[in-house]
Amino acid sequence: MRDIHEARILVVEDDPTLREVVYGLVEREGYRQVRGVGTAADASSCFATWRPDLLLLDVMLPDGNGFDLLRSIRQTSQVPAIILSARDEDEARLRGLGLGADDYVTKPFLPRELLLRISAVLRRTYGAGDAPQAIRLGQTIVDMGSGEVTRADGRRETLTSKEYALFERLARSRGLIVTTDELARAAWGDDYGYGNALMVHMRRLREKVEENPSKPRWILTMRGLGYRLAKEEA
Amino acid sequence: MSRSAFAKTREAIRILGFATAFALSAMIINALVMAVFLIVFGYPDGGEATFAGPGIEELSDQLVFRDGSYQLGDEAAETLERGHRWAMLIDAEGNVSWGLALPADIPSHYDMADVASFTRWYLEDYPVSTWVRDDGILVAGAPKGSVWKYTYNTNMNSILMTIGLVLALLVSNMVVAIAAARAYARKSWAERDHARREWIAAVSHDVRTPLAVALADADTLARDETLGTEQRLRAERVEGKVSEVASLVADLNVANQLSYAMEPVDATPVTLAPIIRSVAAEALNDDADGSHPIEVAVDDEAEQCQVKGDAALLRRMLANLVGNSVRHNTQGCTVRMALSKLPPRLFRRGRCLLVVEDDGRGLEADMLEALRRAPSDDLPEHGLGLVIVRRIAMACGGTVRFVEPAGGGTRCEITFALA
Repeated sequence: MRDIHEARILVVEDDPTLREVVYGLVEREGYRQVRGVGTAADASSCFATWRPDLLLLDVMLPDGNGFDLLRSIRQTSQVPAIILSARDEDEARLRGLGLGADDYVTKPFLPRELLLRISAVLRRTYGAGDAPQAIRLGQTIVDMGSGEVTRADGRRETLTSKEYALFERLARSRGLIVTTDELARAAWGDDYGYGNALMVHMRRLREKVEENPSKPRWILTMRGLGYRLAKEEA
Repeated sequence: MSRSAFAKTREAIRILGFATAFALSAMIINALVMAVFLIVFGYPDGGEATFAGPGIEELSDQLVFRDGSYQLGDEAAETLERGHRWAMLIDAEGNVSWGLALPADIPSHYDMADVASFTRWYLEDYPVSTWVRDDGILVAGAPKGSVWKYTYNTNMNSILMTIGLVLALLVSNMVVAIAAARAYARKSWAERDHARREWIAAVSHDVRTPLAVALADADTLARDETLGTEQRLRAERVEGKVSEVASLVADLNVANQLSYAMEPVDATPVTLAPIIRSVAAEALNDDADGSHPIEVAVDDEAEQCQVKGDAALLRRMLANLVGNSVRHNTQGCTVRMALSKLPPRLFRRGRCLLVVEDDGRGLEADMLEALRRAPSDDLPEHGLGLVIVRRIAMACGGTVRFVEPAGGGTRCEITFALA
């Protein structure tokens, strides 16, 4: 898959209005191959014949539940699935079942949120996508393919793996605050006890991407919380 | 008192109440049955219960020696006759000195052994009762087979032991009654709670699907650039209100879970600091116009503070507190979240203090009053969000205090026992 928008998405939702809404949302977002079904039986047969790349799965279906459906699909396929649920308790149940759903969205959801999660799951699963290959910070360009930073004067530097992980996490939520815990998780896979190490790595990262690391313009400190990668001014 | 101890005490009181009511009503029913029985069948007459008609003492009173012979009152004679009974007087020599309706097989002379024998038992199979008079022994007999006589002898120790045994049986019966009542009550309460929980969960499920449609449509309209500003603003307002309803439904669900569960379902050690930062970051990311800045201050030594609870619930608690400050201060306010470790106490687990405060317009007086009242299972008419805060904190072993800071605004202090 060269583009995540080529992904075949199957919407399994029994409420026809909501199915239509989700269907419309996904289609408007540029996903060209979307189908919607209202029952577990239709979902099974559609899955067998059409082989979708992503499932959006409602939990309560008139002829069964989404968990059982996912379990039976999991016997033959590892297709990514996002569960759409209307019950808070479902999340705990889902965890307990260990079905390996890729994400979980509680109704009602904001359309943007759902679309973000769809593209994140697709990108994570199929590795392709529209992740920007280069991130521009004013005159500085960070190539996300090679981890190379090119400064305005043509000077080049390479990010270390930790710096890359931190920068990639910030870039993924550009414009939003990313907490120190999330950054530590991105770099070390664990979310506490790395306060000082994180500061050291962020300082080095700034030295590589900022023009004036002591007065950062792009990687901003949110005191007591974390960091934010500023958006480029329009 | 922690929520769990509070709930257990309440349950114990309910069970004791149930058992007492059960025992009392059983006693009342017993008393009623006895009363009905007595009214229908009459009360047997004390010591003379074995014979119908005049008792032996009364008979003796009516038997007088007059004009050289014994005479029995007419009334007593009639009653004896009606009951097919007989009577005789044995003088000091052992001879029958007077008799009435004596059967043929009754001897006319008795020695000491005879008297000793029939006094307690039967005379020629006739059940008899006796009365000692100055002039001899009065004997009254009833038809054969009409009365069962039984004499019981026992020593004083066994009487005392019997009283003890009866008391022990009574106590053990009460224990069994309480245990049975407890088991029954627990089962029926559990069933009722389960039914109620399921019902609320089902309702909230059914509400959420149409909300999802409304939210998606409103959001789409709010972003539709072909629409006028006025219309898009309205769509945005609909989106905001639908989100509020959704958050209410979620709160209701949490309240529902916490009302009936003694302990949070997944009580594991949860580190508070990352949750505080994450909630603050989310709120700041949503705060498009920057009118609600959030300051976070986690002490270095509080960084690792863990409490026993459920991470999702604790997140909800903090989100409710921050959300409350933001919603009630549309003009803008600064929210401050702080976590610090409290000084250790002797022989007690460590504690930490979580503070969420704002410099906005503060809580309404009646809301503050409601939040200070002792917790109850009744859901409040408004301000569910803050009540949930208290419930979650209690379920995670914390205590909550809502205070009015001197400079205005709202301040919530939650003290948690460390895990």
